[in-house]
Amino acid sequence: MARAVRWWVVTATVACVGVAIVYLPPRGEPAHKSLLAQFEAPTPYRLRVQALAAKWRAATLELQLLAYRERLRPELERRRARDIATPAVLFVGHDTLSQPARDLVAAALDTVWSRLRLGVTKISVGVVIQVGRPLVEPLGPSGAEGWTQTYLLPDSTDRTTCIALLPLSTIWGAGRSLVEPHPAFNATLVSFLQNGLGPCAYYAAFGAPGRSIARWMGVRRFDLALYPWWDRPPRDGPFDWLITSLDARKNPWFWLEAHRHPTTAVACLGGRAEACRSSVLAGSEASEPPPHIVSTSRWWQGQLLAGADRYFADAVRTIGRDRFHRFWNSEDPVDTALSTALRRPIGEWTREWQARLVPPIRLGPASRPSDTLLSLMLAAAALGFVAVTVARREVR
Amino acid sequence: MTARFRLLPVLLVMLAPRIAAQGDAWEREVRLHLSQAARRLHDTGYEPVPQSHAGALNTGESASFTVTLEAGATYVLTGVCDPDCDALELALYSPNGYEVEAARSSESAPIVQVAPRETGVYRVRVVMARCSTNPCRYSVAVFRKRQ
Repeated sequence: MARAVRWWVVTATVACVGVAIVYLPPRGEPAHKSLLAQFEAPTPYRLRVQALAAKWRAATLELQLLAYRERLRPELERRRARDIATPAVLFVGHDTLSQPARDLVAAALDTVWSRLRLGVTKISVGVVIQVGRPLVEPLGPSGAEGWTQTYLLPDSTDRTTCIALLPLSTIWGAGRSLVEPHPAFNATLVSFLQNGLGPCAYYAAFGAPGRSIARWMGVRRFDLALYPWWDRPPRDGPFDWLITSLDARKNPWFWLEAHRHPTTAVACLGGRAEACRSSVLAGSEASEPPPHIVSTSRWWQGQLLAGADRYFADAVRTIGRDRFHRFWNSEDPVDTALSTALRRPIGEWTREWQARLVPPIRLGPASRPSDTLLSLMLAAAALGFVAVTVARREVR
Repeated sequence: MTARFRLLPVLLVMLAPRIAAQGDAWEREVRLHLSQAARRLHDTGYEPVPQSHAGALNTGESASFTVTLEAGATYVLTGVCDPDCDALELALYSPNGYEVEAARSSESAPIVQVAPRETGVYRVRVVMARCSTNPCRYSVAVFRKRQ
């Protein structure tokens, strides 16, 4: 047997063994312990258990938030009676913060409140800072939900209070500086708190949304109103690197990021106004009642619109607070209310907003002019080479 | 009993500054409007009945509560709401569920006058027809004409 053939035989055998190891679970071992178990379809029993567990987690979280609201009630009522403008703060969680650190958090919240020009508001905000792991862990120690910002929006039992639950780690992020002996005021903490106010800041600034807008926001999990950044320039916002990653000039792999979004969002990135309109109005026909509890969606799951979390903040900055206030409280259908507030077709306004945020990407089969020129030059070179070669071989 | 009722509007007016210290700015505004309405109605011969109701509603939402009304007497139900409220509606339903009287004009201070034919528990329905900044605070008070 030739030496080369032997190598081919060895390689094929090794490949077969590899495939067998990956695909065939060892005898006696349950299938779910195999490497690919996570890709296997769950059984109906497992699905039922997961659904029950999800309901239990949701109920636990709701109870927890309602308990926090009750704990904050006396302080909130005191503030209302005395026209104190800032939110009430409650510290919970496994870890504790020193009194100077707590005072610093309260001072940072005052700064944020003042920046957002939120005076005495109709809907009061209570901020629950969960330091370290939650006291009640709905998902167990490894659960990611324990670190998700969650909001208890005003409901029929209390229409004037919005609660923001902000998990704060003392190991990383904004909370790290708070466990130092002399915690100092820093921009990271202020940004964390400003982001953390989330939809509660919109409720405080503009009241509870009209019914159609509340249903629309509920379906979208308030993705357009996640960050109250109306005091900042358009590109100066949270997670700027997400926007940078969509910029073809800065990231050659931008298309990987772009195609994590739905098709309409990608088309909107490409500058198609109708797709922008569809991305913004997705969920506007919803009829189910809006949820009272909203958890921030995970950024890696993709958004219905690229950079959606700053859409309303940019709208407030562009059209002004009064017009946004009328839109937010409007009882008109969402598309009518929004286009009236923007005073332009929604698709056009959104296309321009999207282009300001991320340079439009190229869509469709069209190639770039530079690529076309290079191809033509290569083709011409090839033709020239052939022509010269043919001319040399010509028999006279 | 009548003498005691006669004192109530006066008490309301006297206590208004103290009452105003409770609740937020919008609640205080509503209480102020209510005490003004009580004063006006007192001048026209009405006494407050301690069956008032207060709350907060978003645009398009409604709330209900019950009042006991006596046959032969004349009552006035008045609603007031905070400055963000543009239209508040009131409707009164008899014990058997029929609408007796309603005020559905686009006003922020609706008034319903009624002389019930039978004594019983009536239902009052309050609708926040228009509120420019949700939620809007409101209060509804019941007054009875002096005999």
